[in-house]
Amino acid sequence: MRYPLGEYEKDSIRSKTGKKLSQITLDEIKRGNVTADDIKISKEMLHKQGQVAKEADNPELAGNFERASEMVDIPDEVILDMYNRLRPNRSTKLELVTMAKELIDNYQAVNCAKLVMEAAEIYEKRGILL
Amino acid sequence: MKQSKRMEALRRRPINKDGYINEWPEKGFVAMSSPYDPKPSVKVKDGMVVELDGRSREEFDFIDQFIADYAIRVDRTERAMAISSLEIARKIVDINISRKEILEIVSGITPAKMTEVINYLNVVEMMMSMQKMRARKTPANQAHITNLKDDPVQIAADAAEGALRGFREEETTVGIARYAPFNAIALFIGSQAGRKGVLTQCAVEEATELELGIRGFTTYAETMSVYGTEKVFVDGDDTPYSKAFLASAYASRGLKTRFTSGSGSEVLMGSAEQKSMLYLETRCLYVTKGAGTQGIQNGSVSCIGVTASVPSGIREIIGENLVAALLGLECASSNDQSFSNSDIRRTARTMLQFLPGTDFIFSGYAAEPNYDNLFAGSNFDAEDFDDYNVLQRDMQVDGGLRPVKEEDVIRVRYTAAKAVQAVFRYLGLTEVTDEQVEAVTYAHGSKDTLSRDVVADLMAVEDLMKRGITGVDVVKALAETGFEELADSILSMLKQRVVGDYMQTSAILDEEFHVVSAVNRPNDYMGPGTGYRVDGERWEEIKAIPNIIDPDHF
Amino acid sequence: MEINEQLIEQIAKIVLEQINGKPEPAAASTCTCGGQPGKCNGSCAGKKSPAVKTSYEGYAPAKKGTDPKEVVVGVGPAFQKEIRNTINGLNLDDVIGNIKAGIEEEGMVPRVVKVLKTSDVCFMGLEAAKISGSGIGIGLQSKGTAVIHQKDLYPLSNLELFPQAPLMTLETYRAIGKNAAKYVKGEKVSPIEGQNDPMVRAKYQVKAALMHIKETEQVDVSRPIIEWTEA
Repeated sequence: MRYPLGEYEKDSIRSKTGKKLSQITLDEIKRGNVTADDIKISKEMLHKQGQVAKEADNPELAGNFERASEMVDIPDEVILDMYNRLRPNRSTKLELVTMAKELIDNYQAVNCAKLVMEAAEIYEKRGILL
Repeated sequence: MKQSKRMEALRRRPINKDGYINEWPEKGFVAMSSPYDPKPSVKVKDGMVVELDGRSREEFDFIDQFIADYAIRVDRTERAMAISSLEIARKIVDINISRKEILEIVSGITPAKMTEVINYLNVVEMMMSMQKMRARKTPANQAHITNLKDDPVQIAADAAEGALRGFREEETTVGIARYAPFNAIALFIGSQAGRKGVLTQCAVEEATELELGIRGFTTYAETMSVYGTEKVFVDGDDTPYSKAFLASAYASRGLKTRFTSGSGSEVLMGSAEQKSMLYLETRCLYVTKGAGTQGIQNGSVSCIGVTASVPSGIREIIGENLVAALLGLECASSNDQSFSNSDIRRTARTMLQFLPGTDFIFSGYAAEPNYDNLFAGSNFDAEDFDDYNVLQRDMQVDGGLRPVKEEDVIRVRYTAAKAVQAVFRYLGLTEVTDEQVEAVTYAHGSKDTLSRDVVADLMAVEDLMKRGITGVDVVKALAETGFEELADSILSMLKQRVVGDYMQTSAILDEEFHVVSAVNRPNDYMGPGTGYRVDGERWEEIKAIPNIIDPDHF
Repeated sequence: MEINEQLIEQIAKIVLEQINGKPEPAAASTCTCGGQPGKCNGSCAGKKSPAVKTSYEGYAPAKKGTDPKEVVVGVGPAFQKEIRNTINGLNLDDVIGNIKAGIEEEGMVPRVVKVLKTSDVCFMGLEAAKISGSGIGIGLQSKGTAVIHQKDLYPLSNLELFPQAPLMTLETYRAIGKNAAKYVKGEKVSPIEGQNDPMVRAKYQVKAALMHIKETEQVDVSRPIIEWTEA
């Protein structure tokens, strides 16, 4: 695997919906064959970018890409809603824990769930739950 | 007392209109070091940090805990903390020690230790360190593109001119929050009309900004603020945990992000907890690192009026930029907010980032006159373009900009305005008249443009969001109205998010949409004869200012 | 995956605890500063303040309004007490008087509350909007920064924001009252034209910090929001 992947791994890259880069063109857009969803990143690409970050001695960035790959299948409005509920003084402890459960049950988003659980604990300790 | 005429002349100087205050650590008015700053310490037990800078895990606030769990390399911390702060400071300045080696050491030290290290450096040493520690080999520059009327057509034109002048990132914001989608679209179109590959963002409320990104109206996000004390973080309506979640949400949609922080914000928001500005900002940078964001916009930013008011405040600002670089973060180093009435003082402040070069020297050079700058004025504005170009030429320094020709400026402004007109018409939004396009093309600022029907614009914005219009629709609109090349550029920008290369540290795109980042073009400076040197084509470009005496005309 | 199982176990345990209504006791605050300057280790999250606080004991907690014509103005904790003039010297009695007059001129009904739980202008505005019979509120810091807010917006978003307090005049405050009232009426509102002074930071930011510190010192989360009839 060689970075930039867009140059050296071009042919193997697929979008979230499985489209190749060469299928995302002006002509295809004009024909109505490309939607906004076709121009989204896939879990696999986020894993690969995480690998690139790790090799560059940046495990924190890799961790972010790991959480991101778990979020690929979470619908936009659900992500926005979860983010808002994770803000201070928005949720009860039970609501945050339930959100963590949702992340695991519905999206196998273990790393995201872990972050939310840690938040639930420290939010309680620091008094920023509802 | 009889008055001295000289003293009177001095009193009238612009520098004496600036605000200054003595150090007052109890309220956080202290730049580099407060008597209440904690002493560095770390304890690790079972692979977990159980003590950080004098506090035990039970005493951690949410910032401490996040830093302990996410931002410090547990496997490296005890060894790194054993090295004295003075020795680390010397290693950072030493040209024989590589950036990589420094990054490894620093990844194990705590915020209080980092604060101590920075306190050993004077400004010249900080600049030498920045020259070595900057993430990307080549520096770059970012523009603010705004106007007082929130006029999207002017935004497009200014974005085009800014791109032509060399900015690789452009940021807009709004006076009226509801205008954001229009301005984001106009900025995106305009930027590519000026020069391909420019990244664009729209600074608005966090959740709204994310929505604009997801829609494909922007290509990166920056206004994700983090703070150094718990109370202020909560006032900013976030925590390190919600911010980390947000960062991942952006990445999951293939968008580049950086966080924003800056000294003085805790003072200005009334809860500095008696700590120095540098220590609190260092905490912000550790949160940024821990959240796994690739970079930061910092350097006091919008609170510079506070930091600059105390002794050693401007030194603190390059100091906090350096902390970012030491943590391996991309640093967009502020210079984006007016803070002084004195031209001497504001220029001196910028030299600290301009001379060594940072990933983005300005995180918002006002590419419009400052009266139009909705970030309440930048440190340099459109009227300083020629000054800036001459500074680059004088010192053979790459500040990220270049001289331009008037006919090119007019051409790209016109194209951008016409493209926005076409897209708005195609998408059934509000009318952009030919008169408006004409006015914007030749304008300096919003005083030279026609007013828009704000109520109609806001209704059209609402409608646009309701209809679910995305970046793909903008591409289609451009392609169907004769702006094929522009459509192709916007599409190429959108396709970046499928690949994700530009989410790596300090990534920009060149004019062929190739990614240039700290991964494929890391800074390799190790003293004279190494690192980035201004030469070749780039030097010719910098030299070519228009106002040159022709010896043949004598 | 180990982390997965641990996590699920932890989730199950907490859900049970929370449903059975016996939450873990919250950790006691480890800060013993008691508001004493110099003794605060910061872990109390700044909730204790060394400054002398005005007591609002006996003041009625602000109620949720039912009048659909109502616009609630939420003023800052130090309003008309510790701070009597805005950053550019406008008397706060006149400022609030003009906002109320603006609201009334449009046929709507003003009510003033003092928000004690926060000193942030956007949160103040949102609190005001939430208890406003119409859902429209105005936030007003004692230094003069103002916002028009609506109850269902994000806290840090707004209908109109006036961030540069040094540029405000009594006429602007009156216009804010009028515009807020117009949002209630559901009219198409032309936002008040923005103003910008690029040198505002150099001239005013230190003063703004000092005033905001003064306001923040009066924050009292135990008494979040009260009726303010002294306006």
